[in-house]
Amino acid sequence: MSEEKLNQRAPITLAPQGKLTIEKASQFREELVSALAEASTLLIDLSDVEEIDLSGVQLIYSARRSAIAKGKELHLVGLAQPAVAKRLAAGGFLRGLPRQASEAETGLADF
Amino acid sequence: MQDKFKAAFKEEAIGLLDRLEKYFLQLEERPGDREVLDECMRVVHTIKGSAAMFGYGTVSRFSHDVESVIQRCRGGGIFINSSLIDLGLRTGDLLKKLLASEEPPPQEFTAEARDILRRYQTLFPGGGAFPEASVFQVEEKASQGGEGGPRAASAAQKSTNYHIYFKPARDIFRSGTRVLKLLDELSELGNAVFYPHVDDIPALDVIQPEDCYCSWDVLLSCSCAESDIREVFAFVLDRAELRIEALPDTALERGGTRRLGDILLERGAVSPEDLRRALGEQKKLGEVLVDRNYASEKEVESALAEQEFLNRTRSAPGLDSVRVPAEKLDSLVDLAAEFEALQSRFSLALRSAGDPRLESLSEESEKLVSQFRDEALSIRMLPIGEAFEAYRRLVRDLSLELGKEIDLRIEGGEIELDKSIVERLSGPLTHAVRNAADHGIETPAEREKAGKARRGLIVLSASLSGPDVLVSVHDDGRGLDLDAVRRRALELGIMPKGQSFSDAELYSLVFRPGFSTNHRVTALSGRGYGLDAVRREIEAIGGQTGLESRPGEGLSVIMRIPLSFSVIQGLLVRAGGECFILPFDHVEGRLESQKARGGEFEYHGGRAACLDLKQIFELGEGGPGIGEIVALKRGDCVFGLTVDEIIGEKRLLVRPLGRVFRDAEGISGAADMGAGSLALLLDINHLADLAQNTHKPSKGIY
Repeated sequence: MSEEKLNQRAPITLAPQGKLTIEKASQFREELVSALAEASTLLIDLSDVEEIDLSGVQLIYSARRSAIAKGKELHLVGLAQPAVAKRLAAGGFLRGLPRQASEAETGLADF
Repeated sequence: MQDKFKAAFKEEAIGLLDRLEKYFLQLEERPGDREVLDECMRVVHTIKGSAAMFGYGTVSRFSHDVESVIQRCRGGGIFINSSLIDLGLRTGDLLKKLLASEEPPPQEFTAEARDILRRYQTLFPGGGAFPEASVFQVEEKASQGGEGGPRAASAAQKSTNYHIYFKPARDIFRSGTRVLKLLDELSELGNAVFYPHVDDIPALDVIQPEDCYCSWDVLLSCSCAESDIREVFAFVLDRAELRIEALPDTALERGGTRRLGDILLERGAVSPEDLRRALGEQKKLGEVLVDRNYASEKEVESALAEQEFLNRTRSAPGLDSVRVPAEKLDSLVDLAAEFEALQSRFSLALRSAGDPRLESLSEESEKLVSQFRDEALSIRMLPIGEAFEAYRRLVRDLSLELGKEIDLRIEGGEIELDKSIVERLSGPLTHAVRNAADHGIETPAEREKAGKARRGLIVLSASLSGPDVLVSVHDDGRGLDLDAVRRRALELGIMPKGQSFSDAELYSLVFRPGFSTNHRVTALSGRGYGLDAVRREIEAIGGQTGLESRPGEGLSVIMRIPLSFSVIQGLLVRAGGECFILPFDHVEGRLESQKARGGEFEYHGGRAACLDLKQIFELGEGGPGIGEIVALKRGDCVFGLTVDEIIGEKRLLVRPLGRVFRDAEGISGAADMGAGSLALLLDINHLADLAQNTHKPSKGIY
């Protein structure tokens, strides 16, 4: 098996820092597009996200759609900060407030 | 219409609260039982929800706080002890009182509610029984003139359910609107559940990151007006589609049944839109949702379980059972009885007409009528265990009051009895249980001294015995003090000096009116409702009462009750122009009246007492008949009864006598013979006692 293929199999982790809000929306989209192009499995680590708004949530959903369309995997990992979990819950995306992002993923509405 | 549903809700809620009490008592025995805790939670949750729907705001808010407490217990944050159970029981009692009163409830009830909540608080280490600010406490502050005036005032009003559809315009972000924050504000108005729609979010290569693709269905339950909701969206009204509609109480329209879809919706397992789509399909909703991946099989299964649970608790509105008021059943049973009486007259008339074709038709009809009657009666049967459960609370309260430690065990609770009998058993049972706790069971110290376990035991049991049910209240206390009974019998002059009574005779004395060996009147027993009242009540439903005592080991009060007092197989006889019924099970045979002589008759080579029915009831001569003896048997006692004529064996529907004749000695019921005439059911025990006493005239109990 070639080294290139091995790399493709290894999951790539994207760990956005600080805000995932409207100001950063375009930039976050670019990051997602390029990460997804390289990886067959993309992990989004939400641990360092301090703030999220609807635009950020939408992009995560959007990336998930793209991943599925391309036969790839995309998962949430890391420990979501309380403010982030709270926002997700506010829109009904989450029922309850699981802090573990992977836990959040299974609970994310229609994800 | 609304009142009817409200009444149904009340009835149901009270049933639920009875169950809650049972669960609390189970928890006391098994503090860690997770399943019981879950059941408690479900019951309180159901009450909370329905109460809000029917305008019982206080009930709903109070239940909400109680729910938080149970939630804490489920989290394992507190050790469940008797003080907590005490509070739980007080909670149940208060909820019942609140349901019985109109909104707003009287001051004393709200004060009691606050007191209970405060006590809950103190039971939790570091306080904080209620994770969210309790609505109750907010209201309290308001009533004390604190902040939150208008909001608290509106909180006392009936809450309304709103369905809100909110679809922000694509460009809403550009106006600087924080959509999620807006939704947060909305949820502050009341209890909100959000169902986001994310289907419109495109893939990464198409998405415009600064556009909004989401929309929401929101179910909001709050006591605010539509305008209050609109106000939250005031700044985005031109940049969003907003529809607000106050929901009619769906549960009202459907008589309180919860639809599977509603439950899935409420749990957020499926969105309203998915539901609407799925409802358009023909299959069962659950299957459709799974097929289309709207909800996982597990989600549907768990919602189905909840639906089943709700149907069960509502003990009706489901598909396979109906809730019917008890009076309707009673009138059905009465009708069946009348129908049967008419049928028997009909059969008689046909028999004398002598047409064999009509007779066979009549026989068929007779069969159907009796089936119909049996079915009607069986609908009214209730497991006696339901009645027994109610005594858990009584025994617990009595133990506390008396400073004794008493357990209650229930045996044979699955035996079914006619509803009216179960109801009438409650007086005698209550008395017997109080008696056992008060006079029977000793204090823990006394018990230890006597070499017994500290904890006393009361056993409520039901068992079948021939055509009867034996209901007994047994305790492992000190038993009946026969010496005291003897002294009392002398005192009352029932027992002549120098005479001695057998133990069995002494027991029967205890059931005499006004006979009590205990002169101490406690709050619990000794207030006139003595064992004679137990006997009277049991006899009124065609049963008998007995005692079994083992000194130092305990006492059993045994009530023998006919399984269905309504139908008996009887021997119809005539004496002095009146019809009487003898329970067929006790009939041994018939003889010619010549065999009787001097109050005795020859039977199987021996001699036995023979009573004369006409003498017993002081009936005049009259009516045809050659005179016959019916040989009867109770236990080991065989005796004869002289009658004018034996008519024959018959299955009869026997009703208890009306209030006026309830105390008539020797009669335990009556059957309608048609044309306004009655046949009286003779009390075999009374006859046997008479026979025994006339045969041994030296002892004069009667």
